[in-house]
Amino acid sequence: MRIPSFVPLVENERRTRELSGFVIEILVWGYLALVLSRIVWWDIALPFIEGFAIDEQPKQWAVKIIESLAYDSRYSEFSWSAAGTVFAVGSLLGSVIGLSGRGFGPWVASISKLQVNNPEDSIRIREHWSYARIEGLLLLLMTILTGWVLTRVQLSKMTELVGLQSFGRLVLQLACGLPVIGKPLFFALEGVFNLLVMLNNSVTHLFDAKAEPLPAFVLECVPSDASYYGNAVSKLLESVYLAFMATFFAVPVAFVLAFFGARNLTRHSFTTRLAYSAVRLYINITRSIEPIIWAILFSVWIGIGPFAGALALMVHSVSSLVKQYSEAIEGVDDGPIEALEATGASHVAVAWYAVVPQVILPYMAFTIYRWDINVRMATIIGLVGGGGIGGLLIQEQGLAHWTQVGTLAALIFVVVWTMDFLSAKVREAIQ
Amino acid sequence: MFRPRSHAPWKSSSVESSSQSSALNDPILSLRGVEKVYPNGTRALKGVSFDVPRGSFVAVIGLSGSGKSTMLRCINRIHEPTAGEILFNAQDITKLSSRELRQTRQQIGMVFQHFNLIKRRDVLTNVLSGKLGHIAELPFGGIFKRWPKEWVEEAHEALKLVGIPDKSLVRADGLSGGQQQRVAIARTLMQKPKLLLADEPVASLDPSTSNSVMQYLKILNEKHGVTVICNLHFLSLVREYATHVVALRGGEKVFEGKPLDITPQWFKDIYGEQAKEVEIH
Repeated sequence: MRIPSFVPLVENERRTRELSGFVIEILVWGYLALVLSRIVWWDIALPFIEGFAIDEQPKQWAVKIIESLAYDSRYSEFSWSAAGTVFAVGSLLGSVIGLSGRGFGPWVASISKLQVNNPEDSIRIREHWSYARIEGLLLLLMTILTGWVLTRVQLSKMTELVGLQSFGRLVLQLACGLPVIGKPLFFALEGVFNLLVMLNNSVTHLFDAKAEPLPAFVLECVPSDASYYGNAVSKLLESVYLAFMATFFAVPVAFVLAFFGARNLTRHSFTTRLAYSAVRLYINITRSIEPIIWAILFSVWIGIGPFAGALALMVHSVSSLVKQYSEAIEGVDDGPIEALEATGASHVAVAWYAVVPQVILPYMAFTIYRWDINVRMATIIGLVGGGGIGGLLIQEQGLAHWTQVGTLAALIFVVVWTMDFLSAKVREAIQ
Repeated sequence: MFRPRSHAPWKSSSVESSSQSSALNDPILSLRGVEKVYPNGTRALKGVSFDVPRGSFVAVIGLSGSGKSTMLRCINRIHEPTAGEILFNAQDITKLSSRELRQTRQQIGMVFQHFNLIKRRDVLTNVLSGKLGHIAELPFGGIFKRWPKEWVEEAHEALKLVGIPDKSLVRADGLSGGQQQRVAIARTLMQKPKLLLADEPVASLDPSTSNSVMQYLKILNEKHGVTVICNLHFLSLVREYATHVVALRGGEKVFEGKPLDITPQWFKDIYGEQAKEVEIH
């Protein structure tokens, strides 16, 4: 498990790095073994073999394998004990490889900012990690494969005609709901879709004269009326104002917390390091709870409505803004901070005079973007009783009023696009 | 207060000015075995010791990476020294509490190679920020306090002294490098420092601007009685401005003496065999 001495490492960290490299190596091989058995063997190879075994003319070898394993893709489950065994075998292998000090784990653990001074050393280092690179590549490939299986990627589904027809009908109804351009767009799309249907029918007819032709799209377009727009726009404004309130009240809180959430300003004493950990813990907890859950929590607490929605968005905005703000603080130029510290200024004054002027522009950009996100999220919040246009949206969607859904989506689009336009202008102006 | 530049040898400055009170004869600053080890294990300073006589202009020379900047930053504890003593007016800086440290820092000015101004603020605010140490004990570090009128006048005076009285309302990043360094000097003037640490103040300036900035440091030294410790690269500037020289190599002091004592052999010891002196006038 030793990392050779020509790999540059801070000397008093070398032991820890070697140890963590060893542990990573064990975990990597445990993971690889799991993926190989669970995904490659269990999910890909075994069903493939089973396919031969239950074929109309079963292959003897396949039947033998399937019977000996008592495998049936309909019932079989990959048991926890099997997973444990496989992982243990993998990690045993990993610990053997880890002892050589050449694997992916030691490689990752040895990465540091230290520079190599001797050109010969850099060649030796490159040779030393040549196996580790292959292992890293294997790790990446296996992870992609696992992802592919777990997301159940089925490209063939995308060309099935039944699905395409339903999709087309929905698109037409949504298009019909668009303000002003709804009706002409509906007829244009209907024409294009029917042209595609005719094309499909004539092609299938060429190959198979008895094939049943696909029906053409025959739909009626009844656009939303003026009173519907009135109601929708007032709900939309409710969402916009809700988002504004959430953003506006989140900014000062985030502004203060961000200083404690920045590594470079909290290094100097135990108390500030503690504050740093506390702030980071807080924002990570609140951020991992989705705004929609917060909205449910608040609507249970203070009742369904826009106020609960605004509070939910505010909690989420505070933590997201603290994260972005504090990362902006971590990127500031240290020079002015040093200069003001050297005058005997207090930490607060240093933050105010040396840090704030440097981060005020990114802050503005983040804040406007957060408002933009909040407007969009306000519609989602409405789904769970947070008020605004979201409530209306979920209602229409539940009733399958797709034309109305199209109208609402178009209105939301107009607001989002306007916000984007305005924020671009503001960002341009304050540079 | 005007103080004649001493041309006596290093340690004998006290003998020459024996008529003055003993407090004034003590060195303003003494380093005793100062060490600095960075968290990544680099040993930047390996036990540096020397005295800085009151009113002197000390040049610190040495290659890049020899520990010059680290040493200056250890003196006002922007970087925390790992071991050793730093006596400023006979008080060990390394043992000060953070409040005492802030009070001591008010007396120690600092200028930097990259000026370190607040770029998006006007020159006046930058100069006034030199006074922040005086209001550090107010709630919130005094950020809600308006600048007193007399401080603003003082800031204008300081700008006049460094020759840019008309720039006070210009944003700092709109100035040339030389002007920015003069703003930085004006900022330390607001502190009324006893000691000025200058970290390669002219390294990013052209030769003629360099000379004018050095002139301002000289005025501070001679007319205002500020002791100056200045990291420099050009020996010609050292010979022209400094009264004392300390040379560092690899974190150790390798030379201490008068500028005129730097012989070609010393020069090679400090900068290595390959080095050749580059002139700047």
